[in-house]
Amino acid sequence: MINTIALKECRQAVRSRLVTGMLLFLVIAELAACLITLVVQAANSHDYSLQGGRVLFVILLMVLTYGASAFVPVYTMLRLMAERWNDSVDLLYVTGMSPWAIVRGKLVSAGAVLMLLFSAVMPFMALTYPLRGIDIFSMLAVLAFAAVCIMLFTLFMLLVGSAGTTRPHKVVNALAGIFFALVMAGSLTAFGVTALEEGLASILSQREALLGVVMAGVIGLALAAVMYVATAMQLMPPSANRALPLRLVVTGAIVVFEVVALAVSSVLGDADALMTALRVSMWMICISIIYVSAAPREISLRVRREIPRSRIGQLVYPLYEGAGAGFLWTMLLMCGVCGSTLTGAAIGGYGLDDEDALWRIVIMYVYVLSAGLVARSVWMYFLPRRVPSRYVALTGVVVLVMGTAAPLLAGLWYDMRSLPNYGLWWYGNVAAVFDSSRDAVSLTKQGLGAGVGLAGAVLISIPWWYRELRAFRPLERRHAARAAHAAHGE
Amino acid sequence: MNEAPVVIDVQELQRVFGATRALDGISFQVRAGEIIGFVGPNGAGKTTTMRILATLDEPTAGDALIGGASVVLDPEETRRITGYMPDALPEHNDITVHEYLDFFARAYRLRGSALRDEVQQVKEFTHLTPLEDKLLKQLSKGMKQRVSLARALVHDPQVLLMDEPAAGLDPRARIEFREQALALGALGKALLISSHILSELAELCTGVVIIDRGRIVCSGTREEITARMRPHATVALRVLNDGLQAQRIARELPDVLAVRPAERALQVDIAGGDEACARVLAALCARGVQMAEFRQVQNSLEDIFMEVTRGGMA
Repeated sequence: MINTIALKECRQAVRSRLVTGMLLFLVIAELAACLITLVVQAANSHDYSLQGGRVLFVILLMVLTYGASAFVPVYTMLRLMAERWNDSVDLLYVTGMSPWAIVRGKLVSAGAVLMLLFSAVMPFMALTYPLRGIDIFSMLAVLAFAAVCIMLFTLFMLLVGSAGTTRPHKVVNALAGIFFALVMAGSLTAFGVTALEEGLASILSQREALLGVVMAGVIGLALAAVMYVATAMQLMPPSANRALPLRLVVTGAIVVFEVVALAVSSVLGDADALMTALRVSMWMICISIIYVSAAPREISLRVRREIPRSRIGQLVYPLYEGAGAGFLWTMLLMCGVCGSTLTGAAIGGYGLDDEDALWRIVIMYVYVLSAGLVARSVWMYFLPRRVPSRYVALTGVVVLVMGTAAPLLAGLWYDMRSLPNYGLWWYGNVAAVFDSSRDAVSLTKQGLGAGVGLAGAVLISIPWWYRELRAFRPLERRHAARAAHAAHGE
Repeated sequence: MNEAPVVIDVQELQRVFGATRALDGISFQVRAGEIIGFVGPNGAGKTTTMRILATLDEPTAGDALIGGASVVLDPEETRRITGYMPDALPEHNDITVHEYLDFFARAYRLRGSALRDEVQQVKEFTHLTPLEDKLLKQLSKGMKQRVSLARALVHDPQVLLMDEPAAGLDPRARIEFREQALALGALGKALLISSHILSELAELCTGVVIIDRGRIVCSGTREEITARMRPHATVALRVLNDGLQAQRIARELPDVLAVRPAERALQVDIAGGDEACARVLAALCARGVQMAEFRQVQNSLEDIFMEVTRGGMA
C-alpha cells in the first residue's frame, strides 16, 4: 500500500519549482561538465591514456553528489519543518496516521526525488563507460554508496528538522545542513576517486578491509535506526511515551555493536573492534543522557496506561518516560558495555592495547552523567515550573563547561601566586579526559574528581528520583470503567 | 427534554500548566444533533478544552468521553469519530484542494471507492467542487475555511470540534458557514463551536457553555440561562401619549417590579410569566395608555456573556 505522506510529498515535489529548478540545474551542469572535459581531453590528445571515462565519471560524480547532497536532505527537512510550523502536525495527530508512517513517507519521497536527480544524470554517466578506464561494478557501487550516504544524511536532517519549528531554526538548520552536505560530498568524491583508482574488488579482498566495511555498515545501520526512531519520537504527541521506543532502539543498537565487535575481534585476534564498539556506544549513551535529562516533569496519563500491572513487569521502569528511569537506563547500559568489553577481551585472551582507554571512557561517561543529574536537579528545585524541560539539556552543557572551567581557573590562580596547585585542573576537566599523553596520576585525579562529582549529583537528585519512582504506577482503571458505563448506558 | 444520546461527556476536566490552572474541573455534555457554542474571554480555557477533546493534549485530571471512548485511555478511537477544525487555516504549498482532501481521507485510512465517494461528498457539501484543482495558496480566507471544514468532515465524524471557525470571514462566508453548520446539526452530528463572535453563535447554536478562568459559569439553552439569571420578564413599551404619565401608571401596577426609560420607549420588568405580562398590558390599556408596541425583550448572548463573566472579556 502506498504511504499517504509519500504520495502527498511526491505530488508536491512534482509541482515544486525548487525540485524542477534543481533538476534543470543538474542537467545543465552535467552537460557543461561533459562538454568541457571532452574538449579538454581532445585538446590534450597527445596525452591519451585510456582513462578518459574515469576522469569524466569523477567530475560528473562530483557535480551529482554536491548537488544532491546539498539539495535533497535540506529540501526534505524544510518540508517537514514547514508542516510542523503550520500546525499541520496537529492535524496529522488527530488522524490515525502514525509518526513512523510520517517519517517513512518523508524518506520515501526523498528517495524518489534523489532517484529523479540520479536518473537525470544517468545518460551522462553512461557516456563514461565507452570512454574507458572504468568498470560497471565500480560505477554502480560508487553511485549506490553515494545514494546511501545521502539518504542517511537526509534522515539526520529530518531528525534535526523535527526538533525546531521557528524561522531562525529553519535558517540555521538549512545553512548547517548545506555546509555539512558539502563536506560529505567532498568525502564521497574522494571515496569515488580512491575506489576507482585502487579498484573496489581489490580493496574488499583484504580481510581487514572487509571486516572494517562490515563494522562500518553495522554502525551505519544502527545509527540509521536510532535516527529514524528519534525523528518519529519527536513527531509524537507530547503526552505519548516518546522514551520507550528510543531507549529500546539504542539498547538494541548497542547490543548489535557488541555482538559484531566480539565476532570481528575473535576473527582478527585483537580488541580493536571491541574498543571501537565501546567508544561508539559511549557517545550514544552520552547523547542519550541529554535526551533523558530533558524528560517531562511528570509521567503522562497516556504513558501510565501502558505501565504493566505486575511487579515483575514493572522492572521495565528504566525503559519508561522519566529522567530518573533514563539515568538508570544509561548506567545499566554503560555497565553492560564495559562488562562485555572486558569479558570479551578476557575470553579471547587478548588484552586491551591501551588499558587506560576504558577508564577514560568511563570517566567521560561519569562526567556527562553528573552534569545531567545536576542540571535536572537545578531545573526541578530552582527554576520556575514554566521553564520547559528542553532547557535542562542546555543547563547540563553549562554545568559541564563550568565543571571544566572552575578547577582550571583555580589551578591557574594558584599558579599565578606561585602556590602548589595540586594538579587541580585535572579534576573536572572533560576536555582533558582523552589526553593520552598524561600519566596515571592525572588519570587517577580525573577519576577521583568524576567520582566525587557523581556522588554529589546522585545525593542531590535523590528526592526527585524518589518522587518519580512513587509516581510510576499504572493508571487506575476507573477511567475505563466510566467509559464502558457511558457507552452502555446511552 | 432532549433524548438524543450524549456524544461528548466532559467530566471534571482539569489542566494545569506549571502554576496556572487552565481548567479547573469543568463538566458539560453535548448530545447528538446539538450545536453548542463554547464561549469565554481570552485565556478562559476554550482552546485547551478543544485540544484535550481532540486528543492533542491530555488532562491533568478528569476525563472526557467522546462517543463513549475516553480521550485519555482510548484516544485512537476518539480520533476516529471526531473531526477537528483548528483556528489555523491550511497553508500547504504546491497542493490542490482535491489532493489535500484526498491526503486526509487516506490519513483516516479510507481507500478505494469509499475514499472517492467521501471526498466527492464533502467537496459538494462545502461547495468546493469548482475549486478542486486550485492550489491551496491561491484560495481566499473564506475558501480555505471551507477546505478546513471539508478536511474535518472527510471521514464522516459524529462529533465536530470547531475552534474559532468564523474568525476573519466576510459576511457572505459567515452566512455560508452558518448554513453548513445547521445542515450538519440536522444530520445528527454534535458540534462544539468555540467562538468570540457571539451574534453568530446566537443564530446558530441550540445551547451555550460559558467558561471563565477555567470554570464553567453557566450552560444550557439561551432561554434556560436567561430564566436562571432573571426570574422575571422584561417588556419594551412604545407609548404614543405622555411617556412620563405611562411610566407613573406602570409603576403603580402590582405585577411591575421596575420601570426604566429606554430610547423612545420604556422597559418594564414584570414579576411572573406570560399571564402577568397579559395583566399588565390589559391594565395599561384600561388606564388609557396608548401603545404602538408591547413586546418581550430577549436577552442577547452578548448580554448573557457580559453578565456572567462580569464584563471580564479581555
